[in-house]
Amino acid sequence: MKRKLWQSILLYATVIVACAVVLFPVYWMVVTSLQPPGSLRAYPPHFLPPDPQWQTYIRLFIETDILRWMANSAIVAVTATGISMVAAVLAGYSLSRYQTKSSENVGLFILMSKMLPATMLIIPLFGIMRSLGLMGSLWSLIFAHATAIVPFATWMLKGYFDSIPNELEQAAQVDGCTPWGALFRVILPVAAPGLAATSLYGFVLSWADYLFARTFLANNADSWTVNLGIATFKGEYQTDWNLVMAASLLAALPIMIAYLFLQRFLVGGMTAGAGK
Amino acid sequence: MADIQIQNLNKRYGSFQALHDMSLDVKDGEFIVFVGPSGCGKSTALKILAGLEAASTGSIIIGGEDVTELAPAKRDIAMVFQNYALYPHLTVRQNIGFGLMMRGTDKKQINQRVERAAQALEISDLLERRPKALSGGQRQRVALGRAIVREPQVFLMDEPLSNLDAALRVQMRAEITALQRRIGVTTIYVTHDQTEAMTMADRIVIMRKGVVQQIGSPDALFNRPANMFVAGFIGSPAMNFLRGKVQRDDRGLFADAGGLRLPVVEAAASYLGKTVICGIRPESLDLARGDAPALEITPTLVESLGTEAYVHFKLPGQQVATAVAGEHEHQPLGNGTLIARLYDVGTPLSGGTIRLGLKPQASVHLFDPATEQAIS
Repeated sequence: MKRKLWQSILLYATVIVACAVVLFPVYWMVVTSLQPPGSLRAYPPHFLPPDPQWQTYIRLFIETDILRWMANSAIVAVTATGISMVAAVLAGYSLSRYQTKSSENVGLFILMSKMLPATMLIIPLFGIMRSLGLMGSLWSLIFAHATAIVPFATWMLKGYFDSIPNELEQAAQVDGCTPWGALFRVILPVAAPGLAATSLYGFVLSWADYLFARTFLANNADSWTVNLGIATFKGEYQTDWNLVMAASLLAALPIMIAYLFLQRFLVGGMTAGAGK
Repeated sequence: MADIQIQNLNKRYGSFQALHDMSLDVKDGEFIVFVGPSGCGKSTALKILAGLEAASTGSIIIGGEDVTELAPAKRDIAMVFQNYALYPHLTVRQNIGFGLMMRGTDKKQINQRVERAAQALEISDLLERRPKALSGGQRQRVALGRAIVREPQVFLMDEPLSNLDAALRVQMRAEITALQRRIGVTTIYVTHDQTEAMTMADRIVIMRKGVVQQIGSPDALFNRPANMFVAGFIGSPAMNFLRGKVQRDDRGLFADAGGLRLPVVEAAASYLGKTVICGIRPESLDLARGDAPALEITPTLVESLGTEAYVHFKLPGQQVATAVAGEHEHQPLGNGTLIARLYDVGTPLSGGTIRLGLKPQASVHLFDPATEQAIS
């Protein structure tokens, strides 16, 4: 069907406005990071910095531990996502395939645990981490993030597994697979888009966390994650907003890159999980 | 290739009994069709044979070995599923060769056997495609390829043609039958379509509510149905059922059904003076000639198919509403409508009254009204 000219104009205008709304904060983050602190509150504001301060980024690498913080964040996010995916794949698969009287209740219980706000979980988790001697260790954050990722990941994956017909693993079993073999050789490859989407969700959830990191790691500067580190830039009397924005931009980069690489899976994954 | 013995098979899901004491001996190389309406237990029986469901009690012996407790992989069977169940992440070549790969066959041999199977099914040019790039008919062939390449002892097929359009279904039906005859593998095929059952089977097992109703050749089921359910299920359009009173005159034993004189077997003598149910196939009726006893009917609908016409009519007080009708998808108007299948009618039939009689050689099936079992 051919679009009329006014329809095309309306369509593109809508897309441009939507992109502008979404991308303006990122653009403003870049602009702020390149301006000297003095001109941040200039009126009228500079939409293009007259004298870009590239040395802010050099300062970031020399004067702060941003690289270590990012490495810590990456270790926590990758490990927490990995542990969560193993648990969620098995839980989601069994909830999808092995229907018992209790499975529905177990499923709802798992979902309900996700409905509890993080601030409610933090006190019992604090007690557990302290008694395990994990305070200040990255493991405390890894386990805490896993408790947050597993419930949602289980439900997301259950949806993907539900959309895969039972006959696929039955065919695999007739063809010579054990039930485990059918899961690993057939079901998981077929659910790859769902696994990618769920992993990315888990990774973002862990990478973006501040509350758990602040609670468990604040006393050990070596274990700080990137969000915790950036928060220390905020001084009592003065804050280097250009430094904060430069660090934030760096912190956002891994997520943006992950989305770019996985967007093909994400779109496929969403539709694969949506219907039969 | 192997024979199969199914002995006293039962399957319960909680309080629901899906399969009642099923027993069957399948000869080596035989083509058996399980047929029946939805929920009759035919697919459950097939899944138990495949090892995908556990039997509650009973045993299954394939080629002399008791496989009741064995995993599907250890039964040396191949199965074709209703939705084909092709692995979407693998190419056609990998799909067909998957079972061989799982059994540790070497790569060169897998390739040779996959190509031989593909050639037999005329899908050689599709080997590098993925299932999503195939049509329904092509997917069906790949599913068959996956089954035949392993050269198993038994083929199990679960309604493999039900997702195809009518023309392709007829073609694939003939191809599957020819393939089975050529390679001679013992085959158990499940369908709800009695036409498929009649055209493909050496023997048919007809089931209802988890109970085997009759086992026999297509001819035996059509000509000597064991009960009203079998009589109504096999044949399209379905058999008509009328009430008739058994009487005797100087020409012998007969049933009087609404003025129609239906000659009946001598075995019905014990029902003399009693009402029985008379089953008449639609093709056994014809326009009455002369002043022979006949049914005076007013057609409610006439479907003309060119060489034949289906005349629908009602006989208040005479016809029998059976449970069969509701379960039979070929029953055109559900309960209460009778059908005559007339050939070479000539003049248009709609409108006025017509007289229907029984063809000279036509057989009448008699059933006990209480038990619904055939009287013979």
